[in-house]
Amino acid sequence: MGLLKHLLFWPVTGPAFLTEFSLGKVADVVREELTDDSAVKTELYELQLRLELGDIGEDEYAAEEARIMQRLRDIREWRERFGMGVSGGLVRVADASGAEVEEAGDEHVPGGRLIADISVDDVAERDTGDTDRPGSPPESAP
Amino acid sequence: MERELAASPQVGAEAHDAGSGAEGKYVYCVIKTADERDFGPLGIGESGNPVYTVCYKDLAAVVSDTPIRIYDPTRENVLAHELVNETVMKEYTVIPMAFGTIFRTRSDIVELLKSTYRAFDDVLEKMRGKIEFGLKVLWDRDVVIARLESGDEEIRRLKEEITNNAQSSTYFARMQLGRMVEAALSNMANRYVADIHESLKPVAVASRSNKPIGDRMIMNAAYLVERSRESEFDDAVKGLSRRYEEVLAFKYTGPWPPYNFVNIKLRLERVEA
Repeated sequence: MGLLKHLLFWPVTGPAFLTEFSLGKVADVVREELTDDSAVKTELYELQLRLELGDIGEDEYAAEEARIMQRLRDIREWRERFGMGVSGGLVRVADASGAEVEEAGDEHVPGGRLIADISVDDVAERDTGDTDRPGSPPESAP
Repeated sequence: MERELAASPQVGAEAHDAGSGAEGKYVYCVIKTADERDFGPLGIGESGNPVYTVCYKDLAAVVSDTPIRIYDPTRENVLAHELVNETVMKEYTVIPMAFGTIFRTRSDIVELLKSTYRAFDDVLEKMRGKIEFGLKVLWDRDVVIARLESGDEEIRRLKEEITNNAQSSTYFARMQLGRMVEAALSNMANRYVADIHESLKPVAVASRSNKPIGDRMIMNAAYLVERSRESEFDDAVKGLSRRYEEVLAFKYTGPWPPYNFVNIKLRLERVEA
């Protein structure tokens, strides 16, 4: 409601507020909304939970799932457009010219070099509270 | 590329095809082995492609051939990905890859393993003999509220007052009741979670709390457990489930690869010639 409030009451609150939120800020908020998939993912997990608890049937699940997938695809497209990281898809190891990065000892090959940051959470207790991980993968107990 | 838990549906996936029908390799996980392995025709997608290893020294990526495309995280696709990891897990410690990760060529994968050798090796060592279990605990708010009302003096009295003076009961009084109930609910949830946690802590190596999903969930946690203590952990969870069977529902799953205890971020860095 924040920005909207200013827009609605502009005649009353005065042009000073226009300087406060430049187009840049509006763009930020819009971009945030277009590229944030956390709410959609939560919806997906809630949907899966409803299926598992028997609240909905397979058909309803499939239909909703398809809609959610489309939204995730849209968000992904926006993320790519803004140069933001995306999960999954092709990992490009070769450089732009298409030349393969060759395994050749310590030889430096022009182009990209894949770096992986891998960390293990402290193998001690951690209560992280709020996180965007939903937990284990969908219930499919072996 | 952040590791996430997701899977993709096949519906509409054609839209994402590279168009050229270019083939790549879908990577499920990384394991420690120098052997060329074949885990069966479990490849994601309808093709049932063989799942095999691409090795670099004693590290191997478990892969299957696939068209280069974006896989939507549908249940079907996630389950396919999971099934591979589950199969591999029977014999190896598994470091799971983000769903949907595809490399163009074998040498790209070798390059990955080469440049991250030490890190992966390190993590595999830390995770050796350890598996993850998921525990989601749910309750029925109405059931709990009913118990609350019968058990809590203050709430019961306030409710009685409101009921008896329905006409004159102020909005304020109802709001107050609502707030008291919410506070009491929150309290109860915390106590249940704390108790469950205390009971499982001694049997686990580590735990991680995630955000509960939806109204009914009060706990959403992952536990890292040593394989050798798996049945002990099982028993502990079952015991808790019985103790609370009138109020709480336990959704207990696993064993999983250590999704909640390993972070993998991949990025491409330009190297000056």
